[in-house]
Amino acid sequence: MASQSQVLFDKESVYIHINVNSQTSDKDAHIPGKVYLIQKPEGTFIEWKAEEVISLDASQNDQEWAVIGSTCSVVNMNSKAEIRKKYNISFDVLDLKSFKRNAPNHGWAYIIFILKDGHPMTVDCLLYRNMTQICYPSHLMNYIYFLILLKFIKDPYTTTLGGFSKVTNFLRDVLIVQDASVTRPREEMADILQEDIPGMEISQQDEPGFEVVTKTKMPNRPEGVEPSIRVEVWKFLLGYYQWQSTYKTRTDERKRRVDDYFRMKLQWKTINAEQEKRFSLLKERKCLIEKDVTRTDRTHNFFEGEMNPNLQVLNDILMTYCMYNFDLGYVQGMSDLLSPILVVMENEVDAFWCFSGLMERLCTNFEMDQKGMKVQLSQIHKLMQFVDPELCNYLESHDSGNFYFCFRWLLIMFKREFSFPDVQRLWEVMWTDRPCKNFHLLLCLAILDTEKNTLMENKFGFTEILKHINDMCFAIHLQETLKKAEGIYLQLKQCKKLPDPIKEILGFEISPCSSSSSSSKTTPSSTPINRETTPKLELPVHVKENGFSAPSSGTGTAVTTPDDSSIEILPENAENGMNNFYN
Amino acid sequence: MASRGAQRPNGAAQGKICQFKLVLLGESAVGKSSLVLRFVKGQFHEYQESTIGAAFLTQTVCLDDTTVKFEIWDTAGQERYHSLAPMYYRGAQAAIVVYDITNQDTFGRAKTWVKELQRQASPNIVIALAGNKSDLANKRMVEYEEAQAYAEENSLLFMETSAKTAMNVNDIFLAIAKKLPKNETGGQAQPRQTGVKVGSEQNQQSEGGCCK
Repeated sequence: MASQSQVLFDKESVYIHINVNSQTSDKDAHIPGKVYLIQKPEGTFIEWKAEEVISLDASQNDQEWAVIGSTCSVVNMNSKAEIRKKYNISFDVLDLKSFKRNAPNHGWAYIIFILKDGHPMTVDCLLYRNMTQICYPSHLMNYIYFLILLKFIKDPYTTTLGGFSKVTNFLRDVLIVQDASVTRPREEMADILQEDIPGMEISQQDEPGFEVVTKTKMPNRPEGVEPSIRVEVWKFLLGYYQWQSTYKTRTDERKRRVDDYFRMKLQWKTINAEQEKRFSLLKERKCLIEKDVTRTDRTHNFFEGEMNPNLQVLNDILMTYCMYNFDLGYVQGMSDLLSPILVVMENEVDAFWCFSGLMERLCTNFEMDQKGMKVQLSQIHKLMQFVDPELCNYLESHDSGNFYFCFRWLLIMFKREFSFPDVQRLWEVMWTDRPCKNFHLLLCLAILDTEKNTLMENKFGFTEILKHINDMCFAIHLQETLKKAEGIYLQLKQCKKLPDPIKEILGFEISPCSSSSSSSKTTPSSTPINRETTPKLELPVHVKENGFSAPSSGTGTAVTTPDDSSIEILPENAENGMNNFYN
Repeated sequence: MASRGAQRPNGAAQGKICQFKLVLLGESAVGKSSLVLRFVKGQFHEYQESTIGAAFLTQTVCLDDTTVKFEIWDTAGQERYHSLAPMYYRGAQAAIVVYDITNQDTFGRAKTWVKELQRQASPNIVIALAGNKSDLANKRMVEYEEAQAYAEENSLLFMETSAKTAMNVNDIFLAIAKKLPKNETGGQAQPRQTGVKVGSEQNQQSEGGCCK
């Protein structure tokens, strides 16, 4: 009999959670073990077996095991092994009635299996813990855990899958490619998982039945650069110095840049009052800059005080930038972008060129038609539709489908949301364009995901959402948010049925065989998501087969503009003119 | 929207509660955010940072037996962000158009805002003109009489204010509150003629202003 059993899948370091109903302090006890999906002649079984006790490190062992149960807080090794074995689990997937999974917060997630007989099982909870918290770090490098979700084709609980199906579709490949702890050959894994399993189907097929969910451990995100070298690193990140430059070429380059800067500075400096009277555009900009310089980061010690000379430097750089890019001029928000750069550079010329480099990235935010802002707001919308349709629907139905509440985040790249050190770190992460293009949009999604419950449970509308988002400044945890954003990135990256518009936003390669890709490179996003035919669960499948269909209700007059993606996903009511840009 | 209970803690149970949407408009750095900050929190920051996008605050004032709750939209002043303004003044029952008495250009800009509101906002909108920074009288460039005459011509409430000294700040909000209709129907904002439609649902929550 044993020879006819086939292990379809296994995974180490899956924890079960015991005494979940206990009111005592031991209710959080976790037992490490290995989970299997086994094909037996009599059916497909999920099994969990406790790990061997001997592999435990003694010191951690005590810690781990002191809390097993209220009656056995002190046990010897042998009895521990016995205790563990009694928790071993095996059940036929056909006996599974439902399962429940929590939101994967705080680096861990769990799933509860409920059997059909209503019996909560010997152990009713399988807990998959963040590997970093358990005692076998060597096994678990760069990988957290995954869970197996099973459901049946005619499962009445299909709807419960909707909430996390978006997570499930992406991740099968992650385990195969990256999971170092899987001991069997990679090819074998792949073959098995692609086979049809009787009674189940794999999620990549049109009827999702078997889904493998993973949560991937983040590689440790760089903490930004060491502050002492920031002044040099930023020059490279912002295109002031070329990566392949040498000390010699950089010295020459800098000399040229210094000359160039002072040449342009002289241009506005030498305009006298008489000239200025007849140069209203320059005068207007000068006034704007003066107004904003006096109120930019005045609580920061670099700019505080009545006659702080750094204010003059801030002013001069912005005025010189006006001469450097007169078409753009000065727009409110620029002083916010310059301020952290000047604080790092502590040098007028270097700060100017780094600021110019930053403006290369962000100038479309400030253009008269606000095109950069429109495009980004619509890109967030598209991403959100795919990543979290539930929240997206909520926002749309609460006057916030325009995502206008993200305006400040985007315009000045979160400058007002974080402390100076965090802004500096965030910016240098963004400037690497890693892990992908437009990573800041995923950061928006990550923050909104964190706030999702607050927004939805309080039934916030347009004003409350905007107020809540505005009031979050200095209350966002940068590192956690970066991690979450990278998690979203990894999930999207692994998703094989990622719609082309999403790929375009994130700079992923678009496969040539894709139905809509032929035109999409030249006319970005000209194939908008049809919100009415975009069901949550089936989106990836749906997209693969049909590409995107045209909007069903083409009421908006601007809908056909091919080069402005923001207009195309407008709801009805599109009016002409500037006024509806932010719908 | 304005279905709050009419009970007040002090027992004035007969008092009405009215909710009004108010928007602040005006050239950048004239003191819009400072006026709101003074009115809502009683604070003043010499170097109040510029407003990016918009800010939303609320403040409640008592007027006889009526409690008036202001939902205040504070906007960015720079011309570049002008296209966003309709999103904020649509459905507003009141507006304060602010200029800086030390800067003639900002007065001209205020007139432009008034025109736009008269043309595009709710027909019954109550508009107040605020000549801010009255503490800087020695740098005055806009004469009181000139602004007052303009306000009369256009049926605007008018006061010179100082967010710094708090002069006339509460007064101008109270004057607006008095002028706003507080009967069952009068406070209703009319559907705006043009402007931004935000999201797919229109005016879900901005049509308050009625009293209960």
